[in-house]
Amino acid sequence: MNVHPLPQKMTHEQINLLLPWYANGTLTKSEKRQIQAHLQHCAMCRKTLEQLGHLSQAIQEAPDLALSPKIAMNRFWRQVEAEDNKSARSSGKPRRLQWIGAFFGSPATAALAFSLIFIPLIMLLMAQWQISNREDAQFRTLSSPSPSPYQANDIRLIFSTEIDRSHLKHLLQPLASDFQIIEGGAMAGHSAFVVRFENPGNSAKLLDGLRNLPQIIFAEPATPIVNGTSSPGGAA
Amino acid sequence: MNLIRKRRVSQNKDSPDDGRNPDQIESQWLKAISRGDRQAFEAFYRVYFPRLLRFSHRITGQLNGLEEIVNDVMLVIWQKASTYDGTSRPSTWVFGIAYNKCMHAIRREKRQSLNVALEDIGREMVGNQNIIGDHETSEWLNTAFALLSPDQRTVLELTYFYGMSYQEIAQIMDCPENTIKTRMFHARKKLQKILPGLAGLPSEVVS
Repeated sequence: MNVHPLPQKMTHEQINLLLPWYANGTLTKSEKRQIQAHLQHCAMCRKTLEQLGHLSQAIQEAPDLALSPKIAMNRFWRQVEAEDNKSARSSGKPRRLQWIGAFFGSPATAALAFSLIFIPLIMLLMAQWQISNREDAQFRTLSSPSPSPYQANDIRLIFSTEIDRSHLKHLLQPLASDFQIIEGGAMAGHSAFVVRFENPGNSAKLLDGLRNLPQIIFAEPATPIVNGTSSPGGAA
Repeated sequence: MNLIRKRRVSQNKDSPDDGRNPDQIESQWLKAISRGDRQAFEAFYRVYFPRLLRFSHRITGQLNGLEEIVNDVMLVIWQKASTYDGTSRPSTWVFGIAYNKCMHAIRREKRQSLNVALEDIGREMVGNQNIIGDHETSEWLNTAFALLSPDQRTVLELTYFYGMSYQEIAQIMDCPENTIKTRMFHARKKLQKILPGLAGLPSEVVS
């Protein structure tokens, strides 16, 4: 089949290729003129054109689907909201703050709620720090200035309820196959852990999954500090 | 052709009838959308939703997940309206996005073998042309479409339903104009086998 750029005078085959667009009226004036001249003496192309008209009619008469744009649009705006949240997260804006803003409605109520959550949390952390000192354990508070043994794939989790390690394992199993609870425990109605995920894969997805666990109030990578310098993935 | 023209006018029935060209109105909507104007976007959405729904149905041959495809297209429009540079008609830009989303959906579905099932129905029809006589036009046209490749379906649909030129279709599908002409030719050749008298090809070309 000849599909090279159009010469001055088109061949029968080239005309045949263009007939669908002659039929829909979108050809240039020059193309139209050539086809009209050809049609005057080519019965085969006239027949073809007539049949293309039937095909065109059949395609246009095929019924459209009936779906409500209103419902779809509502779903669309929800999708936009989700995308905005995702891009805000990737640009470094704290996701938790956005969620809280959306949930509590105003900054004042959010602040009040924060204080209600964080006062017991700080008490919990202080109590755990004391226990770890007493038991010579390795658990540290968020603000511990001492060198940390954490790796880049260690994630700190804080729950608003008391859960034990076996319960935690049960919660984490759907999210990751290979993990190790490095430290942590439950106290005063809360619990805090650091978990090492051996093959974290998509860490953003993993964090999202962790943040959706029941009663979770904090899920962030444990800061990797080795002798005062960051060391991604490196153990102390 | 009058029939196509009529349809194109009726597709724009949701556009404000203030004497302006629909392309101008849609270009202005896109400019407003690029500034984050939700009202302009919703007007655009209402006009394009049925068009994109039909297009994605015809191209993918699927019924499930069509709204998702359309909303994916709409999301690109909402987020990237500023990249529309006005060198093509707004519909060309929008259908270019829609074509890519449909192809993506087809690749995803192929992995789940759904499209293969559609193609099987088409092959069965070639082997048993009497089936055609028992169906309404739209039904056997749907089944005949399943025999075509997604690219061939796209060219047919954009030409005959949306009344686009082969140059516009080449822009949408991001390929040379001659490729569009040959895709149409091969689509007609396949259709001729199961819809004799409709595809506009002499019998010696088909055999």
